[in-house]
Amino acid sequence: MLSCRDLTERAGDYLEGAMPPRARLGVWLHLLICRVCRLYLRQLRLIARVIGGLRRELPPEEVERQVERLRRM
Amino acid sequence: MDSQTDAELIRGLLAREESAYRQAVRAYHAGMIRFARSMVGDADAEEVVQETWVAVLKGLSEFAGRSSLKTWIYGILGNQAKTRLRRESRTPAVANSTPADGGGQFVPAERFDDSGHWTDPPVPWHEDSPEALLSSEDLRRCLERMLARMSPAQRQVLTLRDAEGMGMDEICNILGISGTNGRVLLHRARNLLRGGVERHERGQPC
Repeated sequence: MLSCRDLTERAGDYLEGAMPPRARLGVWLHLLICRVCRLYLRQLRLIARVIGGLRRELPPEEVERQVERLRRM
Repeated sequence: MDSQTDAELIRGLLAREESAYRQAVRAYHAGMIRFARSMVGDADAEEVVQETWVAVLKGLSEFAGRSSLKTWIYGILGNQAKTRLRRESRTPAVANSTPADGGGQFVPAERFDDSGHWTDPPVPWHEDSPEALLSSEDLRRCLERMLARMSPAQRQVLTLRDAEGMGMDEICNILGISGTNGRVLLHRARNLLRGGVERHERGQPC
């Protein structure tokens, strides 16, 4: 049976879908009985989405400056 | 952006339409600067990105569409950055996982007992959506600081995957690393940030 520590080691491959079916089943069975690891995994997924939210839009004047540069290239 | 939008944008760029330039700049420029910074540092990032735009406009007619336009652009950017580092005999901020950012545990060992059970388990956060978490200026700063502090390789993989939404295969191609390596770097980076949010939630310093 997978331990919680094992799960944290394998969670990266699990989230990226890079895991053979058997190993995947092991993770899945652990998650079924372990609320803490479910929470851990949920927080990792949340982090991934938070990073997406850190993207900053370019200010309009910088967009125009760059457009002008492209026009002159 | 899907392939049809790509095709439309490419047509506009080849026709040198200003609206296409604007669309491309809005879609890619900020992310390119960010990625360039993590490769060559703040001082040279702007110039590398400008060189990339030149190469993109020049090579666009030969873009075969085997990847998305974005991946193609980032591939050029990655090469421009590596060329610059080589020219200046600087070591690339290699995207190889060193023991410091690759091996070892993802979660500190002291949080588990001998049998591998959590002794210091994660607890639910007050905010449970990206929007709510990012609405805290404090936490935002904490995350930016942690991003700046992690290894360049971790930051590169993390931002390409989670901020730019690229596939892991594409990222590994651009950075010239193995898939295993890429996944380790990504998982390491996400764990670092998870730990940061956790400390923030506990009122500890970021």
